[in-house]
Amino acid sequence: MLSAAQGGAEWALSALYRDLHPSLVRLLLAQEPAEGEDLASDVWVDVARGLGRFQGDESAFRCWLFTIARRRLIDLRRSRARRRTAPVDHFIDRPDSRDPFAGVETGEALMYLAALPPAQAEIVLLRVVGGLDSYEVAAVTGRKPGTVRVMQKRALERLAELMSFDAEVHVTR
Amino acid sequence: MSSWSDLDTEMERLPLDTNTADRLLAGSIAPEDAPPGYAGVATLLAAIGDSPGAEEPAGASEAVASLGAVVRSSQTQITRPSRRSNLPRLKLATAFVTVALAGTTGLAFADSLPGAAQSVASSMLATLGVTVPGTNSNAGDHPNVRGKSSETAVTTSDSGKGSEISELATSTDLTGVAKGAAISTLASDGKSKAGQNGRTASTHGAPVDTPDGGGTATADTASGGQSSDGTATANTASDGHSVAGSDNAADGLSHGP
Repeated sequence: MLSAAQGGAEWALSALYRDLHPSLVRLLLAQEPAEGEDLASDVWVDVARGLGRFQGDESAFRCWLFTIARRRLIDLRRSRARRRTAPVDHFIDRPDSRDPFAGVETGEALMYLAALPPAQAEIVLLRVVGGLDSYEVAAVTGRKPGTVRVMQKRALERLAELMSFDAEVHVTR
Repeated sequence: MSSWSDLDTEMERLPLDTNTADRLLAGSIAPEDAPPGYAGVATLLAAIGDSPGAEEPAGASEAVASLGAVVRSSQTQITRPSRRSNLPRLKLATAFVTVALAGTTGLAFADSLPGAAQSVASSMLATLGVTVPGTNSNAGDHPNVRGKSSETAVTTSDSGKGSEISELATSTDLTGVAKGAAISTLASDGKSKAGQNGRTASTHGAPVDTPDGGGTATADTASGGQSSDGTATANTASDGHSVAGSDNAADGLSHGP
């Protein structure tokens, strides 16, 4: 399919787009809510331009796609020189605060991620939304696989702490 | 009634090992199977990773069509640079060949090429139906036919001249300018004029008499007696010391050899 896509076959490009675009948009929206859609479009244009020179299997293609997305995100943040949005306090005042986990929606879950250090949140998103394993995440982020495994462990511990704190706040109300 | 999440928060959270964290992120641990304190995290991760399903992304068809166009145009751009890089060279080479042919043909028409070149140009252009003059008067000493490596080298009347010159140089009784003139004349077949303008030591004229002791008198005469006046003036001014050196020299007290 990749070779067909490299030749410009629309059926192959369509299959790639339908398979990966939802994850790409979710990943970018999670980190840049206002710019995610535009960034995703830019990423696909970059992919289309470089597809003729790409070498590798579909796993490598997925890594490549998310690497481009990551670089686009970094460029955007550098150009704007501002930090991400969505502080964790928004969760405390969410509409249904009686049960912190009942009916949790994706958008709300992503807000929990926003409370993590950006590098940890990025790794969790690449793992969960991007569907990459720890080795692929290491390749995309330019870290060692062992480092990624430690960072993702700390990210989950931090998430558990945040959710536990949120539940305690709910109980005391 | 307590929900499962309440129970989760009430449980003491155990340290998480990296393998369990990896499995949680991979979605291979259900919330109810998660370690104590991590059921909520497992639920959260499931919510984050919840795919919108097989629904069509908005504007997918247009996006894919645009991507296809970009991919195809990129492929064209990838193959173009090699053509681009060769084109200027090809143009340059073509221009050079054209100019060279036009120039050579023009010179051939003007009968201005050297002998052999004119002959070659004449024969080559004749095959194209163009008539130009053959070997011309401008050829001079140039051969009017192309040489071949197999042909015998051109012989000259100069062969053996070196040994002849050498013999002259070692056996002649002549010396000085006359010897050089003789050798030069032989080497140049009489074209050299070396030595003809020269003169031997005896023909340079008589030596000029220079009165060694008359310098002072000559200077005195030439200056109308004023050079002696200077000496007398210096002598007077120095109370006779200015001539003391001369006296010392006359008395053999000079430091000179």
